[in-house]
Amino acid sequence: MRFFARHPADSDLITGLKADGLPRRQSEDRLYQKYRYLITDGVRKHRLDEDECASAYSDTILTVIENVRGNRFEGHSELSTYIYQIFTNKCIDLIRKKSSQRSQVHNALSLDDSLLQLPDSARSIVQQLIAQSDLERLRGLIAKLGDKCREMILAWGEGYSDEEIARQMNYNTASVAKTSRLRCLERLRELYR
Amino acid sequence: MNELERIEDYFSGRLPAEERARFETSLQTDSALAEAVAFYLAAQQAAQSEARNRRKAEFEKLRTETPVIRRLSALPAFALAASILLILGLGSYWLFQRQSPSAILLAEQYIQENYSHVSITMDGRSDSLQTGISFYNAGKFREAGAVFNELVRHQPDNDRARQFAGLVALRTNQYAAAIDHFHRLSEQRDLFANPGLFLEALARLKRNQTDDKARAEILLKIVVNQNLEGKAQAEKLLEAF
Repeated sequence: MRFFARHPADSDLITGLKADGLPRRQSEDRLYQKYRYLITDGVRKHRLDEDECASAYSDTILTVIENVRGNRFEGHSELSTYIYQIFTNKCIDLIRKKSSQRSQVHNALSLDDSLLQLPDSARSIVQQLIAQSDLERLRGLIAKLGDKCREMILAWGEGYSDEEIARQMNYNTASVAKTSRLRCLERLRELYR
Repeated sequence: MNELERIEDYFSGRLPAEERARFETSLQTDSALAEAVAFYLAAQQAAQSEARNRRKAEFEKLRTETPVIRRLSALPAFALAASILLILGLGSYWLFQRQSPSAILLAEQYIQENYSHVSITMDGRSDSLQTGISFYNAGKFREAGAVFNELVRHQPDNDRARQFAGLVALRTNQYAAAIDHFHRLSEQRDLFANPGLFLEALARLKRNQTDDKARAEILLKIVVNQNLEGKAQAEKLLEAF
């Protein structure tokens, strides 16, 4: 009976999320399914409509996946508590956004980790240049790359390793996949210029 | 090695130390390299964002195409939990006058065990914070308090500084200040784990003035009910009421 169907344990999901390839993808989908009831809870508690809650929930799951893979979820709290808190915060953000009628740029992905590697003097130069970049245009250009290039760039964006990209896209070695991926990036750069 | 590969190797830590230093030096004088680095990071961000949107659309498809599998009858469970909380709430309201001091003792014990010493590595967001933590661990509460309060004054949203300012106040028996800090901490909505309510409950139990125990009990119930930071300990404390 589906109503009483069992979900995988959180520890298994976390292991799967840290893997690559199909196990990762399946664990992501299972994680999404496991806590999907939060959408209805959100509708009831926050008086948001279902689509808004579903969007906040998808964002929550994607943030959790990024944090688990980036080892930023250290297991100090239960996974369910962690998800619940992120989801609640996202719903509250949504309510605030609605009540203030201000559209907020969604920028969940932080450059901080990369920028922090740079020495102080170089960091400010690069930060200023990034601030001048047109991310929307870059996203549009990614969509215009050929199928293969687009898939490679998106897999890179999702944090897949070159080994995994090589496996998924039938390249002989990770090094060949890396060369092709960087070539695609170079093409993107030429289009962007 | 082409330029983008060198940049990627730099950010993934694959450049040898000498080459890494050379890269950092060039970056300050070579504007073309700086632009390439900015492009690389911006492209990565755009790719992450685009991949995220695509994955979100796939989740949406999953939602519309498959039925939701609920937790084991969540609504009755919710109703049961609500009833229990109501009974506990009403019952404990007149019972708390006769309560044994065990909840207070437990709170004191918990503070002693968990907040006498905190790990410096648990947070490295600023040097001042670490200095404050060093003072705190050395039992120099006056110095620690000065550091944390100064941090909080300049950065009211610095949750760790706020938490430590509260802990210093708690350890030095300045309960009103501790309660104020923890209460403000609990109002910060953008934290993944917020121990504010739980700590406020501890501070109230420790102060133990007229309605502190009753208010601590309510706070602990909220912590348990909303699955907030400190839930497990809050449950233990509630048992001792």
